[in-house]
Amino acid sequence: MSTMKNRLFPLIAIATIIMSCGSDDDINTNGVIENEAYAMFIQTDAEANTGLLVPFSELPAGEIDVSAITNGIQINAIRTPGIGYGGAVYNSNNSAGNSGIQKFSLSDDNTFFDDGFIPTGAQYASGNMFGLISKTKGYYSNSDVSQTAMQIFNPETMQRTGEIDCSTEINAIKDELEDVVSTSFGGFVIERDGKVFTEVYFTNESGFQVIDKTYVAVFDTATDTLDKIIVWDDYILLGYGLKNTNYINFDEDNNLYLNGFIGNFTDPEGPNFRSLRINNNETDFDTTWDINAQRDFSNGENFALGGAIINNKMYVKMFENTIGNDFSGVAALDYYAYEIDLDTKQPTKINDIPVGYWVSVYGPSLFDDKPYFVVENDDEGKAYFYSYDTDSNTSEKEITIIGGSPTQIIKL
Amino acid sequence: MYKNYFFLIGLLFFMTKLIGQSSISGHILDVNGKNLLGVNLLLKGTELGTISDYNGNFEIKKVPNGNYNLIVSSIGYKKQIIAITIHNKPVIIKILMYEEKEALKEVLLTGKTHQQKKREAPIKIDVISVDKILERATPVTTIINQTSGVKVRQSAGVGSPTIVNINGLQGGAIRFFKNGIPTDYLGRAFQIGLIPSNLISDIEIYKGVLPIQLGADALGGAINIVTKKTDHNFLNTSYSIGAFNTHEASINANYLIPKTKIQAGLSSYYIYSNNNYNFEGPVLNEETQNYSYETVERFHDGIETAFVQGNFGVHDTKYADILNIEMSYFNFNKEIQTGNNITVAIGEATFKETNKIGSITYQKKITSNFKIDLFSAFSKKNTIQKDLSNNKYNWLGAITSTDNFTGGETGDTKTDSNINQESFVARLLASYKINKSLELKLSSTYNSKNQVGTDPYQSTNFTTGIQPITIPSYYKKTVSGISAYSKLFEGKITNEFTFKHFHLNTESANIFGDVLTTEKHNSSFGWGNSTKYKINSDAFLRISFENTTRIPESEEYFGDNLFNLSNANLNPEKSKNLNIGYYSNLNTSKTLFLDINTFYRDTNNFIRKLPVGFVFTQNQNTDTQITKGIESSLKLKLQNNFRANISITYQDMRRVNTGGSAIENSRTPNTPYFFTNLNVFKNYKHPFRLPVFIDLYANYNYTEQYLLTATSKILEPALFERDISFTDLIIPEQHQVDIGFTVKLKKLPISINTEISNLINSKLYDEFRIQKPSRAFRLKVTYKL
Repeated sequence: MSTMKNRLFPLIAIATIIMSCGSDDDINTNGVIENEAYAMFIQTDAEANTGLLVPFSELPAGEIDVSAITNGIQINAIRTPGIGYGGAVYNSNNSAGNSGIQKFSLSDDNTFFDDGFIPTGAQYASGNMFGLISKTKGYYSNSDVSQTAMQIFNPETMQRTGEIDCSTEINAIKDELEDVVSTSFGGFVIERDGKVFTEVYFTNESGFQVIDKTYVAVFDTATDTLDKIIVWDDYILLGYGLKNTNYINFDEDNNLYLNGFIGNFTDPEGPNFRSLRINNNETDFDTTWDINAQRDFSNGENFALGGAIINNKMYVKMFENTIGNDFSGVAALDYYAYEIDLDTKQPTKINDIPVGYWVSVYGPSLFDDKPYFVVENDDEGKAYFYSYDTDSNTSEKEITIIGGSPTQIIKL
Repeated sequence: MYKNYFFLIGLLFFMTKLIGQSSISGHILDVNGKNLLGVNLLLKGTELGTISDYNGNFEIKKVPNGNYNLIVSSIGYKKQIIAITIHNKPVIIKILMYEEKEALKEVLLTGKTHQQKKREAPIKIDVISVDKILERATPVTTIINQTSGVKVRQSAGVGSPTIVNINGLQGGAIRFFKNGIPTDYLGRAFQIGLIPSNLISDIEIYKGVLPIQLGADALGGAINIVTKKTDHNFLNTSYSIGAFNTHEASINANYLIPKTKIQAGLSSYYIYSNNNYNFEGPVLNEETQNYSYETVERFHDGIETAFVQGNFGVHDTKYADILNIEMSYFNFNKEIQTGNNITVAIGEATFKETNKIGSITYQKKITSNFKIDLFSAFSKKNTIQKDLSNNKYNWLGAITSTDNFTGGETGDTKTDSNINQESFVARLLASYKINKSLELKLSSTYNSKNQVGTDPYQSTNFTTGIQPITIPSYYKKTVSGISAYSKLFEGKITNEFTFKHFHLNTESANIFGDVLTTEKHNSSFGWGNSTKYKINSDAFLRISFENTTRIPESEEYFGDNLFNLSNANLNPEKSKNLNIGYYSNLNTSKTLFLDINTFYRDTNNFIRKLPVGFVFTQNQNTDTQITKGIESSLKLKLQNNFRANISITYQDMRRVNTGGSAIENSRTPNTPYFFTNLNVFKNYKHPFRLPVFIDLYANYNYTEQYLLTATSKILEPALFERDISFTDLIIPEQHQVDIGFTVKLKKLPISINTEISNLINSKLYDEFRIQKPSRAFRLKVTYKL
């Protein structure tokens, strides 16, 4: 890692959006947004990591002046946003910034309110992991409660209801490894067709994975039992341990893609974007397909975050230049939108989306069948969401945010 | 026969004496007809004299016949010499005294205490005479908190970290001094959250403008702890016991060895507390994993600390007015109960500090108008932090889980750090009086710190595999200044101009590239001017301005060689500070005083730690804070020993130049902006004819709610508004009432004080919404000579 003496880094790169003419009644004259179906997490204080969770009546568009928003809820640790499910937001921390599953529901006056909290303790890569299976069941991990049991909770009541003991299987693997001090679940938690997938870590005293392998646990949600633990022969921090990074995605055929840009931070290879696949109706890794940037990308790009999948293309944000194992170059204005062909495994830069700084760790999401990219650069006080039409191969500036740094848009 | 002779001679002698003398009596008054008490009368060349009584009458008896000059004198009046002849008859005279205005002024000035001179200096200084209230068990933080414009917050009980806000600026913008020397070399020994009041003579609070004698880079102000001078004998020793098993003992003594010019002294304190107060804490239900709030007790917040200082020296010798050597030892042991998050109860992590300090002071008046003051100190400090537990605790003190956790209780990794730091400080202060109206001062303070340590759990740099803590680093700072103090128009205007230079030389680990360490040099300038205009004998106006600097700390430049990146382009923080104040007696009897100070601060290049992506952080120069405020005090001092003081402070601190952020012009978070204090005191002498003095006092402190996070203006609650949705991110309003009384024995130098803090048991919070101690009782016994 270099001393980065000459890099400039913007305080907050912010965009301005004017709400679209087709939705004049979405923001009333008091600045309150009605008929919400979406939410956006917007950071306003980069140092303190605080900001607003803002409801929207439909997919945001146009210009949004954050300083004029009156029904946003103030939240600490805003840079770890959650997900939407069943009309509520399930966030990775409460308003005070404590890690956990925080349910925010919408009140009659179109503001979010605290509707229940379960702490999750510290997780690997400082994240905390949970996944929602149904309106009354979800899984989450909390190493402070158990290093070998997946916890179960009820999203309606926001109470823990039980746990799935995996100690036999985990200890069996642990016994084959050396220097394991602790184990944990995390990285990501995703549900597909009655199965939940989550990564399992075997870490040493310093908190690093002890072996160059990736372990993924497969749970059956009908019986709340562990089916098995599958193994990939290369260690990747899938999902990065933060909720809603959009490193975990489905394609139109319900194949599951698990992505990550790093293994251990101590790995000599440094950043290396990789993608693994679990095909539809299967519960094992597809050993015939994977992406390894250092192996596959012909121009040396290796640091990608994402991403949304449509029409056999994966959409990521990526540095144009090779990022070394000391992470030199990460703060430069060098962060572009890319489309990766899942057959050829080659990235193509999307040229009409401007370059930006690496401000957010979150990858592009799909809305209305278009990937949305966040761009923040030297336009002071502004951040942008650009969409990419995969049919016409054109981009459009959809949202300009004035006065804040957005992390994610979610559909409730 | 000869007996009769001698009797006759004696009788004649006696008769002569009786017949050949008379008296001088009379009445003394001023030109307004007021009887003058206490006027001195003396017959020149004799020992015959007297003092006028309450009615202005006097009498000198048994004055032998003769011619005399009667000398009549009194402070503030012109001396008179009256020729008188005594010849067997009483002389009765009436004497009219005329005021000596110049003489009165000089006496008043020279008669002012050191504290009064400071309070009336051109630079705004609030002086708290702690020496006068050292019998009280009141903590030093509470004493300082009663000053207008100043807010002291403490995150928990005895020994917990404090943060001081002076006129809107806090944290690193405020510097601390002991006798004008930056306290870095002392470690925690003289922290205001710890030091007992018995070791302190005065506390000086500088607001916005610092004189050059305080050689540090302070953006917003400073607190200078002044200890008793070693040029006289004194002894005070005390013991106090209080709630939460709090014990405090102290001794402060100095002795001038008779018939020598040697003095020796001892200052020491010992403090122990469990800090086990109750508060509303979150208790987790292990089944449902939901929190409920219950009254719980802090169970791992104990402190034990001791400080011993011996001093030895000489005074008033040919070569030194004062030459004093001090040797000190400090030991501090603290259990850690919480971090910034009250949901996590820490059960085993601890912190320890030891410090050995040696210092020397030399003062000498070289000529009648030139004096120098030298100070130098060296200290060796060791800190040990242990966070190794594999247990998780809840607020009931119970272990909820035990496992091989990678992380510690206080952070993501365990800690077993052992850090050694050597500090050296040297200050030269020289002053030269050119004439009665002009004095020049020169000051230079050099401060250095070398640090190295070990921690087997600290992450290694993932490129080189080296632990940054094991690489020695140093930090050297020099602050120099020159000032010109002048009196103009017969003292109607006093002015002090200061010019300062700040220089930094720092080196820290560079564990990338070919060189092991990397250096940084920085040089900055600052200047200031303070003017006091005396409107009349009752009122004055004061204006001061300073353009000052805070040099970044070593880690702000170099990062931590792990995830906090370096930034060699970091600029010092800068502030333009303006104070305009007015002070006046409000009545002729001089029992009511008003002190108003308005202040403006334009502080820019604020250094904040900002995220880079999601992996790294980097210290960068960011926005500007504009502070506008007003603080006022109204003091009442009646003849019957009743005093009252009310102070109100409003400070509007806004963040600007935020790069277009929605928090542009928002209030600076986590900083109180409106607070008031009411203090009353009454002294009784010999109540019910008992041989005691009784002091009764009470204090009420109000702090308006304030925001924990930066909030856009549109969401910002108005002053006193309570209908707010995001209550988790607000520090609620605080009401604190403290009362106490002190009984001083007349015949013995002993006093007994009882004090109750937080009398109404209100919930008090400070930064991070961590609840402070509930109602607490203290009893203190002091022996003072």
